[in-house]
Amino acid sequence: MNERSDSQLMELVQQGNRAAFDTLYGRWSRPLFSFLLKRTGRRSYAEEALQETFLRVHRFSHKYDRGRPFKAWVFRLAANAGRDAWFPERDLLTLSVPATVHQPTDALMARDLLVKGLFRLRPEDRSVLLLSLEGFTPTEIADIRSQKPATVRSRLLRARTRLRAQLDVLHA
Amino acid sequence: MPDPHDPIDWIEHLKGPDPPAAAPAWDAPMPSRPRWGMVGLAGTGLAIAAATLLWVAVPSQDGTRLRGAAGGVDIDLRVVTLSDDGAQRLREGEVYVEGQQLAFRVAATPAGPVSLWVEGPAGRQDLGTHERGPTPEDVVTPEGLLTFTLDRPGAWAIHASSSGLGSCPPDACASRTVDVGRASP
Repeated sequence: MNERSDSQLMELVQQGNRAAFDTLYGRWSRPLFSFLLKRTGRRSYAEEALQETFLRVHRFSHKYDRGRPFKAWVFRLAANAGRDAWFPERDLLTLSVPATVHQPTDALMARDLLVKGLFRLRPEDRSVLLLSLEGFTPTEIADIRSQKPATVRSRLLRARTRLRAQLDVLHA
Repeated sequence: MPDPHDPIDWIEHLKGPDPPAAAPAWDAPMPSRPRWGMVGLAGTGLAIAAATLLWVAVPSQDGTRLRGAAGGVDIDLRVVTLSDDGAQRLREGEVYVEGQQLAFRVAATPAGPVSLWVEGPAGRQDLGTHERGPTPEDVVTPEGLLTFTLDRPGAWAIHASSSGLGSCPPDACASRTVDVGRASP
């Protein structure tokens, strides 16, 4: 099952094949969960949203167009799933930095500033930014979010500018 | 290490826990969502309360570093508070609550050994002597970041000196003071 493409697996899911569904989950749950953690700010919310996403994969599998990338489709479901926390859960996210780094407080402060900065963004800006980090182009994000590409570019620019300002606080 | 000025690079280094191992059952109920009106109202109230508290409690001055006088050894002592709000620079004049954890960043110009100690209501506690250069660095031990807990109310002083433990001449020492209040029962 693992050697099949996403599109082939979705065809099997449409026929009620549970193993194909599990394979898709194994393939996509990690990047989706990472996206959802950063979007929702709480582990429990991210787990709910991931569950909701995959339940929709199953329930709306007949709506999936096999000529289009599965990744964009499933991220569209994830972007619309679940809810966002008002404040991020403390220590939900850690900074992965080399063990040789001798400035733990730099990493701590950068993580805290960044996570706070992420959650000070408007939810739609945060979602657009996180989708761009998943490798989607502004045009693809516009399709995922049913927005104009110009709106997406504007949101991306605003999100990056605000986050950069957060990091500049650290280096001031 | 991520590019210090690139937020995208930093976000890509953010890692979280793993997702649930198993996919949901097909007949699992769709997770329910809260009523946003109520959540919004509660959230707004919380935000107003938090903003009021911050306005009252946080002074605008950010005295994060203090240097020893010029002419001897220039000691740069920075103190970071570790709390539920994350790691933040120590703020001059703020009253911290007992149990507050501190971490330290120290530099010495010219480079040399710098002794670090804390004097508080229960006396002096030595935090060791550390080789330092002109670039401020976290004080670490083989176990990791050196932290100190302000475990009782009162006035505390943190000293970093190139003149040895307990000796704080103005031309070779930097100090910070912290006021600690009693935690609410």
